[in-house]
Amino acid sequence: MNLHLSKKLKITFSFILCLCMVFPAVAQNFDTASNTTSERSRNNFLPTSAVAQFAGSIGLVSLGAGWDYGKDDKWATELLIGFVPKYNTDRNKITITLRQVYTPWSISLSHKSTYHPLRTGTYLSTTVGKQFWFSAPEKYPEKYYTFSTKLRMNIFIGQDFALKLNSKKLPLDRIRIYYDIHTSDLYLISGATNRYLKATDYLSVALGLKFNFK
Amino acid sequence: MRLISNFLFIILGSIILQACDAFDIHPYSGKIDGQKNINITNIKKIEDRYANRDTIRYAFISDSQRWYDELDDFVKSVNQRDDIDFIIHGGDVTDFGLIKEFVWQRDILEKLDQPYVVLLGNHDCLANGEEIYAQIFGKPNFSFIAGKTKFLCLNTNALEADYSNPIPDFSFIKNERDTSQEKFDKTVVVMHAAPFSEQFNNNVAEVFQYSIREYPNLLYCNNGHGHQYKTEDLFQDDIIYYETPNIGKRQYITFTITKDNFSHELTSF
Repeated sequence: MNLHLSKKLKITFSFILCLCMVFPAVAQNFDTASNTTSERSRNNFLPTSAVAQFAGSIGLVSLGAGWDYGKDDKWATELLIGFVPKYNTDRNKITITLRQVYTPWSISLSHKSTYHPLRTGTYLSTTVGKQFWFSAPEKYPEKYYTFSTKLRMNIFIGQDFALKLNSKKLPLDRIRIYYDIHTSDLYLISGATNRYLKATDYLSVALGLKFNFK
Repeated sequence: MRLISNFLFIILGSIILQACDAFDIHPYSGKIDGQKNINITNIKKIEDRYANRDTIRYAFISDSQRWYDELDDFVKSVNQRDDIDFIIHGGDVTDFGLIKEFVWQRDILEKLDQPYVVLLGNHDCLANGEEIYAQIFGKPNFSFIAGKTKFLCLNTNALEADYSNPIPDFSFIKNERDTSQEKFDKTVVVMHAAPFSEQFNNNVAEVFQYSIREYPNLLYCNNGHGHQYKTEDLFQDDIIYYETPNIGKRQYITFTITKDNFSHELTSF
């Protein structure tokens, strides 16, 4: 029991630590938005973007911070907090998601707009609440439930469209609008093991906006 | 350039339009579209249609989690029979307690020509599954009368709950014994997990058996959970527990209850 609890605590603690690191960083980044790129690169643990998303199996709406890196910002690591309304259940739910995005190609449409024909990657999401567990509680016989109701492994493929802003007032360099087609481990297991379910049953769409800071 | 952005716009637009309900908020969101309160609606149909029958016949299936093809084939197969009055599902429509699983299985079962009821299985309790089950099907303990037989459908998934939630619920069992007494003279008890399985509260197994034997003319019990076809006299008291195979085995049990007898038959499809 103690062992199980300490494992849980560790995971919860590391998430809280991540959050504590990110949120002051986001705030700070807005304060120092007038900094030049070279100044910012010295503080490269600061997020370089903010994300707002609709759906995606991580909530009705999710908000988060992103770290973009690599040539043409081909890579991004994002941390999102999602809100799930209670709908027909007793409680609202909160999710925490860590996402890795890869955007290999960019096609310039005009001097202001860029089209990224592929964005893909994976995200791990966890739901807060004691009705969800990482591994089955000890009251169950061994290997009774071999999956986690708390931790979902998701994959996605999508596209985005980026618009460069020339605003002097906003601390934003560009806005991206994206969509992702995504699924998760449990949906794939459900979908792949029979003929009855079709891809549209277990693939879903997420829509989002990404704001890249100056 | 213009062409590409138009092309992108069309692709994006058509994907979103096609996928109007393809936004997945959360695997355990609790957002249920479509038919709800199914047990309540179907119990009314069963009680109205078969009130004056001496003989009733039903199909008993269970544990259909992730066996979508087999459940769909069962529905097609049983719809071709004209001698089945209703269908009882012994629980476990989901494997992971996901909303989508509940809805997928419900949509297959909704194609049944005859009324059906679904019990709560242990897998259906996972995450907020019990809340979803309650919305789509109804209460975890329920009963109905078909012909002159009362079907007492009980939640026996004690391992999924804590002590704040009595499982099995003896006050429900007692109350139901006294309800509509004039309408039934025989009883069948249906549950997901049978006594002595790891789900059952085995501390009260004997008390449970005693309490259901207080019912008028207890014929037998039905259970699922074990995924095997079994006929066992669990308490050595001539009350047989009939366990139906999981639907993945492409089998179900047909029960026929007549005025003073009953029979069962393992049916393959």
